[in-house]
Amino acid sequence: MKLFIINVVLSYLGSLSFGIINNVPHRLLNCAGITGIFGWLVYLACKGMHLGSFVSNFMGSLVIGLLSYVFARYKKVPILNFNVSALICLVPGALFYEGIYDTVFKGVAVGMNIVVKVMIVILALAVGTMLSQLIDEALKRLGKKIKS
Amino acid sequence: MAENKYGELTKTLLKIGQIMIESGAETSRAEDTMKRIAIKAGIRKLDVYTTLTGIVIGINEVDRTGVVQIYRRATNMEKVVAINDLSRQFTEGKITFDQLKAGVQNVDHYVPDFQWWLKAVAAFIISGGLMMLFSPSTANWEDFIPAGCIGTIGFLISFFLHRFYQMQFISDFVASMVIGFLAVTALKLHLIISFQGVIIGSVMPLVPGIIIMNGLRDMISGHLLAGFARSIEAVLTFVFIGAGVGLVLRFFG
Repeated sequence: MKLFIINVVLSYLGSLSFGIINNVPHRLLNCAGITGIFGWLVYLACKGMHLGSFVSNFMGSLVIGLLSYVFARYKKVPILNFNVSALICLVPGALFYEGIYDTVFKGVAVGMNIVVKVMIVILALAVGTMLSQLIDEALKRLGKKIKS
Repeated sequence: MAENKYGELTKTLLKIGQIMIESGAETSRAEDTMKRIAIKAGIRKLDVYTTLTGIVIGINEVDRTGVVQIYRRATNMEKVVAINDLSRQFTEGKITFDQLKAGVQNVDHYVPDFQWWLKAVAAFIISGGLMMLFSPSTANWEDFIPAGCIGTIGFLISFFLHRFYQMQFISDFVASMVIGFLAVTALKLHLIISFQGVIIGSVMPLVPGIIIMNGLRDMISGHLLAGFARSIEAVLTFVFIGAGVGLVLRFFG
């Protein structure tokens, strides 16, 4: 339970602070933080179920994308405000460091293994983002059809 | 009269595009905003060619073209949101074209940045917090404050180098080298316990989040040129950050 609270608080603060660095307006910072919490919790849950890093990052970024669209529609601002701030928690920092470390001390051949892993994680984030954009686009079309 | 009106429209559209690309909006959003405003102002079709370093627009029905060059790009979402609000109000008919023009000038000059100390505090929280988030097994709470301080110093170096000299990648390289150096020194002085965690945490404020995101979104929406340029920018930033840390590790680690 204590670990859960720490995770929630840190992911909220992390997303909010990355928003500040990118000059996200004050009134949107809270929503950016909330998006970050949900993305990170979904990632942790998938990781806990041993689904592998591709699926967990994919699910995390998908949730972040969908939630950002909800907030962007609600606040009527560009989606980038929430997306970017929340995604900082999923950037593979630890893996990236491992890649550098192994390249320096164990040779390029060992290091490249991990660099490819970093690329796969980033690919997962990209696929999640793309899918959320597709879902949003589809829902928009559907809404227009229902209206007309 | 009519001639003058189209001239003003061209200038305003270019200014809008320039502000949006400069402050880190996606290419597709900039184009979309310009097109919406042009249609509302009575143009049937606006042709736009947007890249990261310049914008060309052409209003073929009245033989008007315009070019603007973009020298520097910084991230300021506040400007993007302000322009977005203005364009929304204009297309809904709540403000006139003159008000839009005045508003755009206003955004260009007076929209504030967050204070640098506030960004420094944010960098502190990111460095410490993400260190704990990423490696809960190896990181310690005692490292929170040292990691935060190192991350803040690194971020401020990158921030001010970028602001005063506009050298994008080298500023990240220098910042990450300083981070690595400080971390090594702190480890030698027994100020920190987990070297790995501190490096991971303090590099995080330098991550070019908005560039990665923009690159992806541009690629999806079909702006391959801008998308590739941005993705390469992000990859290069990562490479330079890694090179800075790796260099220090090689010689002092």
